[in-house]
Amino acid sequence: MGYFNHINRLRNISAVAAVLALGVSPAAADAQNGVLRVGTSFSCSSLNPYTTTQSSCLAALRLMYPSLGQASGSEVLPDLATSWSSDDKGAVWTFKLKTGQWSDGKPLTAKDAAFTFNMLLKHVNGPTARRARAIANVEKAEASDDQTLVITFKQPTSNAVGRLAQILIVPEHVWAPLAEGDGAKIATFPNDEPVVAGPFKLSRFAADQVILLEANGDYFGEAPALKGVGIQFFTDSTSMVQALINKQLDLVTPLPVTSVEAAKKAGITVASYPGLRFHSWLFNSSENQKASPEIRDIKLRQAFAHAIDRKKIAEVAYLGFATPGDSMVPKVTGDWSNPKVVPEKFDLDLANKLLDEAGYAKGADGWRTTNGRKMSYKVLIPTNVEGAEGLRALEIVTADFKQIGVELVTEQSDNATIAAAITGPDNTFADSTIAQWGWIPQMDPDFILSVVLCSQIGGLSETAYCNKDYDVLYDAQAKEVDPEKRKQTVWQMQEILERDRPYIVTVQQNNVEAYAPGWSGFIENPIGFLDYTSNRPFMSMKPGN
Amino acid sequence: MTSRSRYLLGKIGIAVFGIFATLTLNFFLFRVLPGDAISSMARVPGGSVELKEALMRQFGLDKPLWGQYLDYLVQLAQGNLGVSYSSLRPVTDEVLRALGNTVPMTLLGILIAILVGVTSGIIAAWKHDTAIDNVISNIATVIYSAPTQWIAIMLVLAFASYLPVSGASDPFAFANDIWSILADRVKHMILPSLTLALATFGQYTLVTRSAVLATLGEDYVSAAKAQGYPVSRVLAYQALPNALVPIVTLIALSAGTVIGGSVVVETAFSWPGIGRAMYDAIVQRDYPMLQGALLVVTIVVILVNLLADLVNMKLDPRIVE
Repeated sequence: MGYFNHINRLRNISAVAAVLALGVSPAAADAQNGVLRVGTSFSCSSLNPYTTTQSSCLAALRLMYPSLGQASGSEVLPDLATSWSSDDKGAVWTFKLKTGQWSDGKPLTAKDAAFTFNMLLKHVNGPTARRARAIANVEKAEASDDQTLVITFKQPTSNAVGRLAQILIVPEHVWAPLAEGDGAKIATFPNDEPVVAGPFKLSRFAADQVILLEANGDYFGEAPALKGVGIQFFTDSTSMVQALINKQLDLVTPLPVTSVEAAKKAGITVASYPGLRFHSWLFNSSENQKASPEIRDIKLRQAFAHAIDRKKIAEVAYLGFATPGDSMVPKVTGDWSNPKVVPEKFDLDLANKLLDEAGYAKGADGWRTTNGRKMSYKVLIPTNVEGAEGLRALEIVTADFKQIGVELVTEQSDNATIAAAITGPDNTFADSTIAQWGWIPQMDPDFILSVVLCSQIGGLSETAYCNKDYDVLYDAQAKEVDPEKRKQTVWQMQEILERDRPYIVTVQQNNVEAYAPGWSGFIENPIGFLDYTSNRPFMSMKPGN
Repeated sequence: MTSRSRYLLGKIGIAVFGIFATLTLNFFLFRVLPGDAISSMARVPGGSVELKEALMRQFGLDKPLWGQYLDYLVQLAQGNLGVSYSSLRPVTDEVLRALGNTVPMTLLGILIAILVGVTSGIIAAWKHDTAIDNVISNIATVIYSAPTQWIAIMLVLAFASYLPVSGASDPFAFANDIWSILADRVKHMILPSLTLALATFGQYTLVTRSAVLATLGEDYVSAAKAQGYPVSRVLAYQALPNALVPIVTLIALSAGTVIGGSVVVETAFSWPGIGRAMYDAIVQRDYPMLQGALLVVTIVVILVNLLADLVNMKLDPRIVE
């Protein structure tokens, strides 16, 4: 049995090998053989579905493993689950599942799904902690028969299906031995030969170089239009763009904005559309920071907000591939973003006036002072993630701030150093004042709204902002199963953030992606082509027009 | 004890001390860097205080520094370099894989550089103060001063339609015969090796030129010339052997590049080598990977330099005095 499986596996690999080998020849029409070759600068080092946080890995894993559903905007489309319903309180959810077959021939049933959720629950304070948010409030998972999964929550939970659908379901017969004891093996399992049941299966993985997938003939759903997928990882965008232009790639994500013109000239389709990623200013709200207490003054933050020329940043720093930002819940999430939260008008006179009124007097040399000290602040910026665009944006702001008598001094480093500088020393937030960084929210607002919770100080918090009223609202929205009622709470929270301004969102970045002629079915997906919540971007791509 | 064995013992002693110092420095150097492995790993949608604590436990970072150091030494004594935080694979495997990609590419590049550099340096010295010398010296100086990433980008733009510009092999090819695999690897190596060769040959040219020029002024060279020996013989037997010491030292120093790779070249060509691996490990604060890679690189460099000392001792016995 094992021997025949091995033969089959070899045969499959050589079939896709022939196809993929054809794909590389510039002479062969790229789309003809149905293998989509994707180039990206987002690397992937590990295929362990519970430890990796890299978007490329997660997107590839989503093509291989089944999940209850696939995200589409703020909705969830059926995948392994064909339908779902909840009890009146929204605490018990019943999913009707398809059955299928794992790539080693064993059956895929609801028991695998129940095992997966229970494994994640059991080790949520250890090896599976990265998936804690997706299974928040889950009490237990049961398979009442091979096609029925029942998930019980400790309390009603908003966006329950959306959260659960993020989880990749793994085969019990492979993972049960890893989950024994403290489950430490879950976190150290390299998963280099994954046993899968999704639309594709792995034919080759070379960490940080390439992932090759071939269509899985035993997939329980509708067969994908693609015969194979290759994702190649680039550390330099010049060579990535050249590979696209020279027909060695079919799609590039993200396309550097400086290469848009060159790509268009070569007949490549460039898609530029609103994405989730935003860039922002963050203020240290901690009382431990004693050197510049004025940084906690809401009036000062308001004046600063009027002195940031978001339009110019979007047009000059981001070459027009961004829009002025407003709420931490981006407008592209639809109803979740509060329409009343809009960018402050750029008005240096008004900013000057607000600072004068707040008592920050301008000296003879043009610089403002407070407590006998010149108003000068170090702005921390993680250059490796904010990039040249981020630095240009900061230059624009620094020049404008000179006109309101406030000096900004750029301090660059890599993200780990900046993270430590923002929160340090020892998570006391005693030293930093201002930083420039960004977030990539999810389509559901829960995650991005959680970043400013009191309980996140020492965790995700980079502002030490803590507001008990806000936290109460957060808990309320997390429990609210009626989307309309939840929306009101979510809007209220955004108004609090607009008032207190732990963050000033400066720009909302576009997703810029490019694909070669001969392909169709590209969807503008706010998370981007490499989506950790949905396989739709890949599944909808088709060779031909 | 003869001065020769004293010299030898001294050099070996320094090498051994260097390796032990590396073991310890390696451990503490990265841990005193601001930022830790956990902060960027925990900056994800599932992030929380609990996740940070779980990760600290998983990687043994919750123990005091001395405890971690002891663990590290015990593991090292068993030949275990640990497990990479980001790929979850043994560091030994990762380092060997990266070295396997780096060494052929850098070796080819450095060999071209040495060949071109030493030859052009000798010619420039022999023809010194002529147009040939001027052309060679100026070209070497200009290219040597050009930033490596600029050379790389220019080569990518010029040759992208003819030669592969990324990776160590064709990711989409599944050729199974050894010759196609080899041909594919060599094709991928051309541009990165050429970049490295262009970026470094200038130093060999300039050092060789000045070393040979110095010996050309010596009496024994004039004597050889006066005896009517042909140019090639004077160069090969009189001038060059005596000019070799600085050249050998420079070549030994290149061992650092051969083994340690070049972050810039490997980044420009998405080359999955050791330089790139170390850069990634620094950004991710992947301590085991960083320690392992640096340890292997340092040991090799120390050993090659020891070898260079021995060769120099042979070339110029006066060194030991």
